[in-house]
Amino acid sequence: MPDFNRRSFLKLLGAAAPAILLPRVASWTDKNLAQGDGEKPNVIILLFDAMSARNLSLYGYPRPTSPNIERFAEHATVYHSHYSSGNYTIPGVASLLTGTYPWTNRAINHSGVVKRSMVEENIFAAFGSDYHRFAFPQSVWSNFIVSQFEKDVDTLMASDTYGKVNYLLNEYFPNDRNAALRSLDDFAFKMEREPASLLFGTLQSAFYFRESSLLPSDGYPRGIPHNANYPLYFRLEDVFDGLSTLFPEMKSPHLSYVHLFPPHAPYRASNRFDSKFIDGWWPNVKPIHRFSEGASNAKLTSARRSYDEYIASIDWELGNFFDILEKEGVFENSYVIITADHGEMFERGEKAHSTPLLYDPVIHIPLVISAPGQKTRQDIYAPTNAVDLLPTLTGLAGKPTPSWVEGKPLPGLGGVEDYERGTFTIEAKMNSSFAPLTRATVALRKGNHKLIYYTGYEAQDTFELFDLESDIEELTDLYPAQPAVLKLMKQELLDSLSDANKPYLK
Amino acid sequence: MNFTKRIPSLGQLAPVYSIIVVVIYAWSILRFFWRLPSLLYSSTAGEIAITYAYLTTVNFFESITILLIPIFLSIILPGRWFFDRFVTKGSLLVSLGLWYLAYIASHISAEAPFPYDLIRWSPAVAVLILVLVFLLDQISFLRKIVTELADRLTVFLFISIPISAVSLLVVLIRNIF
Repeated sequence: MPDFNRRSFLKLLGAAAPAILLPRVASWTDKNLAQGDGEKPNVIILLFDAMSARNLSLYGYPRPTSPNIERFAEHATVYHSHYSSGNYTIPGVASLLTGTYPWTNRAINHSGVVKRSMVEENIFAAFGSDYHRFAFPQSVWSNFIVSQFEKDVDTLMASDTYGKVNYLLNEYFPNDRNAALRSLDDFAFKMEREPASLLFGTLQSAFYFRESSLLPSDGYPRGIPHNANYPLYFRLEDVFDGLSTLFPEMKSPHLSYVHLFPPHAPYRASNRFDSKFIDGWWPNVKPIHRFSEGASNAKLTSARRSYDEYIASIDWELGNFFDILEKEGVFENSYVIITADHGEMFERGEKAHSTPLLYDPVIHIPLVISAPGQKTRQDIYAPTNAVDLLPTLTGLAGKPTPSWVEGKPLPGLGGVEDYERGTFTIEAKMNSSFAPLTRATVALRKGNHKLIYYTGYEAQDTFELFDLESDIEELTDLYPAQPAVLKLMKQELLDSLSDANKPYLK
Repeated sequence: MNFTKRIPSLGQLAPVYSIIVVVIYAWSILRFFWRLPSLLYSSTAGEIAITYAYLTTVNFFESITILLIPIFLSIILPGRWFFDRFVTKGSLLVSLGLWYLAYIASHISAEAPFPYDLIRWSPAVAVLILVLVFLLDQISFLRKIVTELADRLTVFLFISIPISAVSLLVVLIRNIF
């Protein structure tokens, strides 16, 4: 007979604790959902541009990139199979903020925007004026979408707030911000090529590059973080210091959407983490995809390491930030959401995002939600999608679910785990937003499987099918074997695409 | 010294301004047409027109700014040096200056370091341009060609000025109301 002593008893009690506590978590969550205390909760969305769940130690990544997010997760709900609706910022953000897929909201192009008839169908409008609605789109691309919804945003903070070099022009046109952004910042004065404005654009470029070259980069061995396409340099600590003073003072109840640019490239780790991951670890080598840029494994591995170090740098700042929020009591009356608009890829010959590929690294994104006063962790494994955030958050705020949304409330926060439900990620930037999608990649995530459809790239459309439970690295394409699950998934995907295209058929 | 006597008349300014307009506006229009296919993917006709209005408004202010340079030189320099042959010298000055500006702008790229050397050389290039202007003005057939060309280009002002006025109005209305 095994020796059962005091230590064994305490171990048993520790193991039993979740079982004892779980009903209490559920009932406590239900209480919050029912707004038992009568107060409206604050909602804080912290979105990180290009943060892949696959590169976070929270989700099992071998490098310790997110110890502070893991610490945050100890009093939060962690969604393990959460997916973006697009593989770059415009569709990713548009879907999150409208609760609709890109093929519905039509924000499918670089510099694209939401369909004009849907401008009032957004999360800020859904929350209504009894909430203070705040947005900080530090990512300028995010501002393409957010500025469309400006009428429903009470405070729209300029993208270069907390920045070191401020040359964005749209802020000087507050009454026509979206048009000014698209015409001036994204065209006449765009930094990435010879400016369309010959005199002022050249002068602005000269002053901008001069000023940015003189920025002290102490603390950042590769230079301070910046946006490669728009004039925006910033230090991570400045951004988080600024935000940590913002939320405790924010007028309640508030809905705050904060879209931070890191860890989007260029990857500029702080000196605490620069070169920290020269650890000899190599990820699985995967075959180069025919739609990739054909980057070498060495290049991908080096880029991945820089990216991981950048994430770790951000996570470090998040740790201090969370401590301040906790000290100020923000967690007691707020839903705090950590998520991303899309991921980042370093495999199959492809680096970054916004390509025809929809493998998990570029669409599997983090979602961690801490509810007011939540003290224990909850884990959800059913697939969820960015379109689910809007109906979830409106429900938590006591608002009706808008009729236009395509998402469903998240399990654990008003919804149920549904492995039979399919969700989509769409890449369609080579299409007009006013016409049917004819050249696109569509991923259907359902149960344990993911079906990827490539249409319009080659003479014949192709499919790939993966079982993500047994093949998380997506190495074995099951499509040739034509398993039973394929038929229904294929039908669902093609029907959904056909339905999305119907309004645009002439 | 009466500076006002050396302010060029509208008749003198028009040819010089027309050269500026052709270069400045054409540069932007070319890039606008490069951009147009992607704009058509995501923007309505009205939004494209608004983008063009903003661009043209910028062009208008750029062109006026550049025009101030020959006017300034005309005022500060002795009449025989600049004002007396304002059209020729002004046209040569803005042509050569805009050529160098376009040369700098064409080297700006996100993939390459900013062409600071070209900026650093600007003062020397400006002096060189001024010298060239005075030297080239001595060549009578060249003087004739430049003046003739500048005069002919004034037809573009009949297009650029109304479009710029409408564009400015659009931008103002959208930002005031």
